[in-house]
Amino acid sequence: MSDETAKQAQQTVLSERLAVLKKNKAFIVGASILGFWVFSAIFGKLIARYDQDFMDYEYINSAPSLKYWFGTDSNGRDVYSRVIVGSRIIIVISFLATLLGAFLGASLGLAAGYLKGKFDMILMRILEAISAIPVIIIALLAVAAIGRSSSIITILIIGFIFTPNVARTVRAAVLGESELEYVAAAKLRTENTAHILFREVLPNVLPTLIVEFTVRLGYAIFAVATLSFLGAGLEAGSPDWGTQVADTWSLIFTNVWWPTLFPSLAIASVAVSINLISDALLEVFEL
Amino acid sequence: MSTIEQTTNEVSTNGLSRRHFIQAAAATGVAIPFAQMIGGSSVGAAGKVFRYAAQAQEGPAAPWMTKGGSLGILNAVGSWLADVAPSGELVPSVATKWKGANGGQTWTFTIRTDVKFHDGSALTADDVVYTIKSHLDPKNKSQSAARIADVADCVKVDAKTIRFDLKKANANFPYAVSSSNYGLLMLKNGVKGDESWVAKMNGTGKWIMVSHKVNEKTVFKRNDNYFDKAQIPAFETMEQIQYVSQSAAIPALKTGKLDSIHLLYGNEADTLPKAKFYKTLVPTCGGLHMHMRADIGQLTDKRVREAIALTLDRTAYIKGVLGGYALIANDSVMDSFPTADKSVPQRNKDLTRAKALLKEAGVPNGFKVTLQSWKRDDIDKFTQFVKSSCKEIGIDVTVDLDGSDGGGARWYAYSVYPSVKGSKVANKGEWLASEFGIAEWAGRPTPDEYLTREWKSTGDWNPHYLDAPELDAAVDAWTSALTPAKKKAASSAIQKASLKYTPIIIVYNETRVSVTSNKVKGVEFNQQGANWSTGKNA
Repeated sequence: MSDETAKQAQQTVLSERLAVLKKNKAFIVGASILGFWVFSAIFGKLIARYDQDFMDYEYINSAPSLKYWFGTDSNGRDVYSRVIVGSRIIIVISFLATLLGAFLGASLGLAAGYLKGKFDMILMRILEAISAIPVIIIALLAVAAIGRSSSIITILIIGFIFTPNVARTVRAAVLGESELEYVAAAKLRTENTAHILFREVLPNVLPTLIVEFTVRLGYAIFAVATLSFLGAGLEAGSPDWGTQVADTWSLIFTNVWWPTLFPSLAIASVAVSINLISDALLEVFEL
Repeated sequence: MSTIEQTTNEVSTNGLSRRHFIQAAAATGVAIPFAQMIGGSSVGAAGKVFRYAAQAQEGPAAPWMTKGGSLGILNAVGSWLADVAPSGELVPSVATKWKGANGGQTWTFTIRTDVKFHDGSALTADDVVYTIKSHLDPKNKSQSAARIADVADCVKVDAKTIRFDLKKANANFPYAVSSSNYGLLMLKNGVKGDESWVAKMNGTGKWIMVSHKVNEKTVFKRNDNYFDKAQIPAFETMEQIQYVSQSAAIPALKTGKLDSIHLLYGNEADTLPKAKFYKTLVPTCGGLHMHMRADIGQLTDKRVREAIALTLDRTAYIKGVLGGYALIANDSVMDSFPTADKSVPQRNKDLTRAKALLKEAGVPNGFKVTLQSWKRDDIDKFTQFVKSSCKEIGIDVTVDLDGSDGGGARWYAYSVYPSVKGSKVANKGEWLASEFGIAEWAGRPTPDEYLTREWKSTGDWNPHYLDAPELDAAVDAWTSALTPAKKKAASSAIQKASLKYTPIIIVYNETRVSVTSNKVKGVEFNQQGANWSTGKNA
């Protein structure tokens, strides 16, 4: 098969998959919700009705109304504006953390699945040991060890924590791929290992990696929100959703539920939307 | 007889009426700011166990190591020469009377002979002298020492009399050895007041410690041998349960697992049904003190510090966020005391002036700065107020609140304690080593401790490192003033210097709010937060 024929075949597969996705209701719902939040993350300041830090002292713990759609918190800040603006923080951090985890995990998984032997065995045992510890415990230990928290530290911690999961998934896919003829052909062409891994094998395990990426992204949303909730994530008082929930949850007991409910719903909606997309991709890639 | 002797003679009378005392105190300028404002309803029948929510500890509840959150525990097991009652009055306790002489430079205290430690041994004059001297011994690193630094000597005159010789006159000295300086609870001669003391907590107070789990729960049983029979509680047992956020204790109160929450946000307390709970309000001179380093960092220019102070809409914050449960303050600790100079103009929000000051200081577009403290309900809210307000003049405040240890231990690490004048301590993210930070201060019956420890350049708790001879001189004038006129003049000078240099911003003086189940009666706290609940009808 010539290069052009192969390219055409790839384009056909891609357009077929896109067509299937367009018909998938779960994907459409998921993509719409996620699209809204991505839009909010980019243009949040334009959609928000007030500055996220603006305090209206006349409207402390005010219930949802026409003036304040999602009500106000105990500092008189507009919950709607803070939820919209807060989307940028959680989405960007989660995306970058997942990207880091996917890059590290894919690299290690490719190497382990292709090289096999002792390298594979030792690496996988180490990754399994890391995976055995609950994500939040590792994250909290890391924050405690570093002694402070920030967006970058959160990204590094979550990226590191996701690495073993991605590596295991990619490794499993590579184990099957590495026995196929195109890999043997590349070896016969005396291509170097990096070329074989990233130019030959990686494109063929990409669907697996994409699905794994979306699954991890959903977990990352929860992980970022949980770390913020525990006070080990971002700046105190940040409009980040987890921080908002942490700052306001105790108000529920005084019947002020809105500052907690809306950021919680936002977290849930993003996580659900990503899961819907992930399920649809699984179907499309026939994994 | 001088004014001071007259007053202290009146105080020393066991049967002193409250009105009598207030009149006498006012005559010497002894500050009893909120004497007439007492909370403490009494309804329903007292239970056998009293369970209340208190703030988390910042360190061990040990006499030499007092830190925030340990007050409740020490107050239960300990007793002092004199007590500061919920009314703000200084009342007899281990000492039945006291008398100043030599223009306030010598003080004698007559002590009771029927005071017993929890282990059954009797309290002696030697124990009292040991207690004081143990705090003054530098090797014990007592957190309470600075408050009695002017004590030249403490001697046992006889089995019932203790004499203090001061380096200089101090009309308010009895407060310095009262429960307001709560580390000075009676220690048994030779017993260390460090962390080792916590295991037994062998005090002379009305409660005996049964079990103590740091930052969780401390259980006490009633001390039936307590010397002041009228103060023996009706409750048999008291449990102090500690919460980092008092709001988080509301479910436990609602479900009957707690009887009372001490230090709840007023507007949160207002949401609780009045048919089931009652509020106790204690106006205080305490609150959040936001310091700005005058020696290093971005805030060394006093115009910048003043600009920050001018961004704050104090009235709106008190009315809105605090639900009105506070009194406006004017960046000085003198504002709430009767001796305050009311003609000193109140600082209000003025963005035009604030921007002009920044321009004069060479930072017309503002700058970035980090405001540090620890995670606590009132501090959380206040930092957002500061952040939002500073944004209006271009100052980008990053809020950094440490909540990693579930309390304020890291913030109050005291790694640079005591503050040393001119030491140029680097910003370490601790109270005494931070460029821009907040400390919460409980109320005090007189401003002396704030002034000598926090505001004066030589203070051991000076977080702002301002070296202003004008302010120092005014503080010295206050502590040595013996007449009301001199007290007022000194107060005025302190207030003006505080506004001129703005080393610390004080937006409000808090009203301490406690909420208690109607089933429990006789629940009271003083302005410092000491628990005076007896379970009896008030």
